[in-house]
Amino acid sequence: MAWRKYWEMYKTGIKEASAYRLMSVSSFFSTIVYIVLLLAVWTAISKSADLVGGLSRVVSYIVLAQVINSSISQGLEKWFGSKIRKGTIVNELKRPVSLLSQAYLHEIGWQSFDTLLKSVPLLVIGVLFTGLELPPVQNLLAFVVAVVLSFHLMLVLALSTSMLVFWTKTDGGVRFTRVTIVNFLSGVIFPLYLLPESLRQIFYVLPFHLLVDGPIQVFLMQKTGTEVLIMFGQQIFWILVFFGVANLLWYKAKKKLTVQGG
Amino acid sequence: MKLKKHLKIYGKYFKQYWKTRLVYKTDFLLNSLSQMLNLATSLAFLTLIFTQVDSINGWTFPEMLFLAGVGGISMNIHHIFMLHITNLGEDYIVTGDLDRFKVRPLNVLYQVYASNVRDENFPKLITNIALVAYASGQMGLNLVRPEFLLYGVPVLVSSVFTFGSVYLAVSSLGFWMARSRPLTWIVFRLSDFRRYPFSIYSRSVKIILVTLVPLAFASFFPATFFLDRFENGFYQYFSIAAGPVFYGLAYLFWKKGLSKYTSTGS
Repeated sequence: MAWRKYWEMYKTGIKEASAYRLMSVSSFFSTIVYIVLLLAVWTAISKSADLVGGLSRVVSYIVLAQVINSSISQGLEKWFGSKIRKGTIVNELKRPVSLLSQAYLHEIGWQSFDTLLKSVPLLVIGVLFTGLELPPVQNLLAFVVAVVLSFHLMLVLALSTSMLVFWTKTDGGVRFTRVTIVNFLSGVIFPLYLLPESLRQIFYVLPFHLLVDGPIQVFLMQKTGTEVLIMFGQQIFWILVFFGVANLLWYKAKKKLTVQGG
Repeated sequence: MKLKKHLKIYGKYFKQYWKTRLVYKTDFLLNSLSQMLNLATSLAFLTLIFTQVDSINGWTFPEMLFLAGVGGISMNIHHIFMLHITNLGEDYIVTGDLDRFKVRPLNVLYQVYASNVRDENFPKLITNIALVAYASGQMGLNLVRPEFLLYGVPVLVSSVFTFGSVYLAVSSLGFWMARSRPLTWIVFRLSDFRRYPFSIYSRSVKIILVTLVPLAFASFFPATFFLDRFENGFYQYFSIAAGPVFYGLAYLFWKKGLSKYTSTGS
């Protein structure tokens, strides 16, 4: 069966993730710590500012941003980096499944584990302790679809930056740069609706808001009906664009690939 | 003298480190770049907040920059020389490489620290110094005063060790858990608390910041001394002693862990 091999690779991702569950647990708690910090900061701000939509909207936004971020974060650069440095990437190249598909299956395997262990508990905590309100069922489902699309958008983005590792040979800086830029532009660090008007326009031209800010708007009922469908379309468009970029870079990387070691 | 010997050898370690470092120039550049970018987004966050408000709990924008800078200086000095401890579990315990350090006539913890210099934090240190200078200028605050130097120098040393105590204590958990790196993510997040006024936090967070994770002594209280904001006189002076006290406690914990360490035995 052709699907069998894909299924096995997906399972490998899950197994790996569960073997490193200390990482998931720690990152869950560090997210909680971060939320506690942001809540304190925004509560202090709300005392002397007239925030659009009040404090509760900021709180919902912050919690949801972390829920989504936990579902879409990627470590692809590292996956490639260690294989490129040790030269074991030849093993992946020998397999009957393309390297990009292997990376993809590995990441969805890993992410299914992380979503269960991190995002779902975060959402429950958000609803129980921060007054986050669940939307009607059609928007809740649309939210799930939006996050799945976000995951794919982040994946192709990370895939593109991972290709750079073939040139830099080192992945830490590449990943950290990508994460920092994406966090800032997507709404994880600062709620995009609170940006000054001129800045906000720039942020909404770029594709990154579709990663986090977009799904949040679906959850908070600021996007409904056709607006949601338009957003799906935009997400898919950018997924295709970055998929193209990643493939182009991969094509170039293959040509210059030197396997280290003898 | 023992200390002298350790210091002398550190120079040799340092030189050795730079030789290997120059092999990976792109690595250094990329890491520095990403660290700077990260700092830039934190500052952007602060700037954006001040598009909404004029002050946070009575703290103005320059005062907040000053606070961020003061904590940033001691934190990055720590990071340059002492952050390598966070690799304890992955690099030394799981691999059994700590054996090497245990058979040498030097302090084991010293050897872990000396094995690496996290120079990618150097640009951030410079930026934080510039931040303090800029913010002081904005507020018309002259930092070169005898009483400031008398307080500032010891408190800087103490603050570096206050950061050191937190990272050492958490990394030492690696002796029991075999891994330490993921746990330090939580500490990294906790370190962000240093950037905001102590008064914005809830009671329980405040208690944690002066006991379990005593970072308020490495950032907030020293900053209030310079800014002449007497929020808590005792804590301001205790900040000078906080480093040695908490680091001493963390060191005892490290010792306990080290005595538990058994090699991988392969």
